[in-house]
Amino acid sequence: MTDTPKKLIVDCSTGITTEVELTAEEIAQMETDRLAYEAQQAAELAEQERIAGVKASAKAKLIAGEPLTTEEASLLIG
Amino acid sequence: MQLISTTTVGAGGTANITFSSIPQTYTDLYLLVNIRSGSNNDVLFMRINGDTSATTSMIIEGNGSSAAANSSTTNTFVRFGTITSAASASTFSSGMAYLPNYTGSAQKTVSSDYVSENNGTTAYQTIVAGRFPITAAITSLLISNTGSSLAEHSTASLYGILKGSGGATVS
Repeated sequence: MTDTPKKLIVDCSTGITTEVELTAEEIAQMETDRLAYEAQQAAELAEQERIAGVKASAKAKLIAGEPLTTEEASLLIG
Repeated sequence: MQLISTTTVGAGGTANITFSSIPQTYTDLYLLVNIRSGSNNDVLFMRINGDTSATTSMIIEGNGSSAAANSSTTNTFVRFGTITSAASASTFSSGMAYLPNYTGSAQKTVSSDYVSENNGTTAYQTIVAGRFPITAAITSLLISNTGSSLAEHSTASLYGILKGSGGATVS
């Protein structure tokens, strides 16, 4: 049987730290937070890979003397 | 700057840390953490007053070989930094967060910087500017992560800062 996760509550009015089990709602919120972060991380990674692709295309076109798109030019020189 | 409270995670780790009943007698809050995660590629974040409203944040993060800028308007927390259990053994990450005017009636902002320690080629440095859409005074501050737990010996300390020279309040 899996132990229920616990949290630390630091009562600033007394300085006493208490360890208590998470509620079902808090456990659900943790899962929500994890999924939200994973979705954001996937989106950030996809965008970084897309930009890397655009930069590579821009560099190849520059070398070949081919016209760049506006986005490619902006990535190279701002 | 005065220490309000501090805590150290005991054996078995903990899911998160909450500073509750934060006194309303200071001007700003200053949070210092020294954290190790029980999960790899984990993100440390903060939430105030238990509120899960969508926040806004701008993030710049470097990993030792490149840096990237990102933003979020949908997270229900403000990211603090990237922590990892894959870091060198017994190595903890360090971070600070500054929350100005935490008792005021304006929306609450936070400025943070965080570094993950690792005796290797990959370690993260994260700078965040965040905003919580909360106008109430900050009475509690949650430090949590998107992974499994905060490891034993992790620490968190909350300080209060008074405006004015020598800590005296300017009238």
